[in-house]
Amino acid sequence: MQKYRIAIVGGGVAGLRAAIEAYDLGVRDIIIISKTHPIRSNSVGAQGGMAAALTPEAVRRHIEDTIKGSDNLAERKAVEFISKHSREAVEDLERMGCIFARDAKRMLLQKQLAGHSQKIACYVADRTGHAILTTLYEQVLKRGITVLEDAYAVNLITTKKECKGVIVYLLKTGKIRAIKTKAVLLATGGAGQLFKTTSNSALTTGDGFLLAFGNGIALQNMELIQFHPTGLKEKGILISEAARSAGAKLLNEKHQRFMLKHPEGEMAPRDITSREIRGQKKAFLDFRDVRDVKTRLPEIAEIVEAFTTSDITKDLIWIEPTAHYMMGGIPINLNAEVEDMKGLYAAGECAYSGMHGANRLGGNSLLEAMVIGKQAGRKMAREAKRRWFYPPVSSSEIERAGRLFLEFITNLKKGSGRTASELENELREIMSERCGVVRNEKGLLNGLKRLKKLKEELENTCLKDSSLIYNQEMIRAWELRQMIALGEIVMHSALERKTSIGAHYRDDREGEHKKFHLIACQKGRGIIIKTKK
Amino acid sequence: MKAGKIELVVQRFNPERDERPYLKSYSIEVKPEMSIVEMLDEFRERYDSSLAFRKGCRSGICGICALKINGQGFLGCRTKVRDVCFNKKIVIEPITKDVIKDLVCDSRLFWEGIERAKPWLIPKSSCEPLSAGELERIEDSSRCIHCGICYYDCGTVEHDSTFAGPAAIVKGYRLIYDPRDRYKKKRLKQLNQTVWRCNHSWSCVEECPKGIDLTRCMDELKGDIIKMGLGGAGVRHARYFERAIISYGRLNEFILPIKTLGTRAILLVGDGLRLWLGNRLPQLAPKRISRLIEIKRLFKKLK
Repeated sequence: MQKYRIAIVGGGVAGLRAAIEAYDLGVRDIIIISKTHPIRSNSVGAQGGMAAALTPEAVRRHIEDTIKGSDNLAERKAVEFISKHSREAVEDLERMGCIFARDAKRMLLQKQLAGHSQKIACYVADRTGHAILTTLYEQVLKRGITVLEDAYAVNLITTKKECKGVIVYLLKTGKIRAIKTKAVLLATGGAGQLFKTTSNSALTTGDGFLLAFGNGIALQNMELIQFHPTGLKEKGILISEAARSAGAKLLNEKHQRFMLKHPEGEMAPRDITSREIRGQKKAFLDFRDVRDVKTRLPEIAEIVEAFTTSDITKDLIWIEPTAHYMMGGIPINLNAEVEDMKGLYAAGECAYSGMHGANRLGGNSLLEAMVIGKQAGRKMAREAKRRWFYPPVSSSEIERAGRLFLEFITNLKKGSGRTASELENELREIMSERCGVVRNEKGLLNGLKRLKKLKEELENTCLKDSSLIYNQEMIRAWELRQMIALGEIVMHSALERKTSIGAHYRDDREGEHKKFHLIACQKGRGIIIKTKK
Repeated sequence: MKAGKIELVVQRFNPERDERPYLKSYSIEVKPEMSIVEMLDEFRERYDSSLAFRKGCRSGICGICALKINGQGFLGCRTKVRDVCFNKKIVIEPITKDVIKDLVCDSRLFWEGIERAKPWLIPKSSCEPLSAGELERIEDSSRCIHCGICYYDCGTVEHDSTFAGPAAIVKGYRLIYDPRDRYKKKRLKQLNQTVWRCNHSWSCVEECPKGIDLTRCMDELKGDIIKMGLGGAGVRHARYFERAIISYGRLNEFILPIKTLGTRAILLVGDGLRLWLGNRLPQLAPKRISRLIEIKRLFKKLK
């Protein structure tokens, strides 16, 4: 069994930021466990920018915009904290080498994103996520922090009150390892792959949620999922809000600007825009009046050229809402601690800090990942140094933690039913139809029934690839198992939240709006949802 | 190109079963506007679920899906079937020979080259933020998505895996021209050991999915290395090359290696003998070209 004082599951912005901070505070034995090379993490795709309030007045407005945009479900304390640290996040990144856009007088340039009342987003062309992730990874390289690539965290080693380690499956060798720790950070991102059309990378399967839930941690507001309004039809690839802030219009199949009924027009918050788009037969982005579009929006122009057969200067670009961001997640305090379990932390999209409430504003996810990631690194370093000894881990605890995964993959080899790939396609159809932009009781109950069937079918799925080394079919079946379980949590929560709020829209209770939180807990083999004010 | 059947030839390798990689042919249905990654996804679902390949963002920004398609490097998610299907056939191989399984590779050598470039800002004790002009200079070189295509298809890397490769050099460029970095001279000195080894095969420029002007970056670096007065074989080679063209309008390929390598040129005697036996020796004392004045005018204009 290996030991590292700090293990970080996930190599995106939050995870890497935490690693750098913990290292700089003197903890050298850190391991980053990532399913992919960190530079390939989903964070790399963030386009629009990172929100940063650079003056006290900007902070005040940023806080109010974020809370209003969250449909008043965000927690003021969290929003204030993160907003007040946003300038520091920019400074940290620039000190590390990131090249945010500045003007000839060296002043930071910021742009408007939907739902904000001011130009708030610092940016690097339209590839801010790429720039930030590259900068952070360079700093990880500089420090020589250990990165375990093609590595899947399949369970935590826990007691009721404490997290003591993590079980890792290594895709390259087919072996399983136990790693003893003093602190584990879950920075596993969202779960866009639950849906048919998503902006998220192929590996964004929400692993961290189940790692926590399966070990007795309650999840908060899991039904609150943001569907970014403008993803390429079917592919889901994001056309960022930078398009609309540069002047691109939204048209329906009759070429009408259907967003004009809203005071902010095309710059209305994402939840409103997504619902409006879904309500049209077809929806398009119109760039024809955007001057020098290929120079001003080079990445977007490239996306249109590479992934469609359209000409951005002449044609309308067919778009649809794309599953983009999970507002819900593992509840944490502002030190990134999971309060019900010592030694466990969470940061970034998989955590619920209270920043985004029922709807996230553009630019706030990179910001939250940077600020809470840093907090996580700081707190974990302090705890790792304070605790002299590792919590003891017995071989029976390791065996118990690894059992679920081992039993699942052993069982797979005996199955004869539909392939995991077919089952996954069905899961994504169910989630998109029944638990997408618009939800209702009938659809959700039907969805839950179908998920239950899928779960049963998965136990009998047919595994054609029996190899040990780099068996992607097998590991994807495991991810599918976790995704079905996550889908159930999301649907139960969506069912329980009978009224609409933010990104969660119930068309069977139109006009009703209530503000409360939902906590999903494991009870035996089932899920119960509790309300919290 | 219409939707229909094509021949897909894929390199397969399962280290548990196969002694070495091999090409296998399949007949599959495709749509012309599918991306190669979508095509491989469908291949896995319908034909053979054991095929191993990497995919990520599906939108050309994470760099994970670099593949060799018909002998050339491409990003699988950004490449459409119709653009690489010739005579109803596509050949797909891993981007490098260091294969783990099927199309999944070990990119250790690529990352070692990147690390040797120390691709992180080493800030001066006090520095101003960059201006728009300074940002513009390094914007192109900072767009690298680390897909490795330039490295794996590099004509120099093919023969010499110690060559850091275009991506590593461009990472160095990005920091050398970042005024906040403390080590401009040191980085130029380090790059002086590598940048001259580029053999101008241009495959990096042709294949970079981000269209980064890699050889322009290298040429700028070479210019600054010379201005800095650094020595070394590469600088001597460039200086003699220029002098020879201005003085004669052509190279003297006997003198060139001596001027470049100095006494170490004696190591090339074996190659010289082989050329002589093959009747391929260059002229001992080539004549000046007739219209040398035009060459001199060109140089004057460029300077």
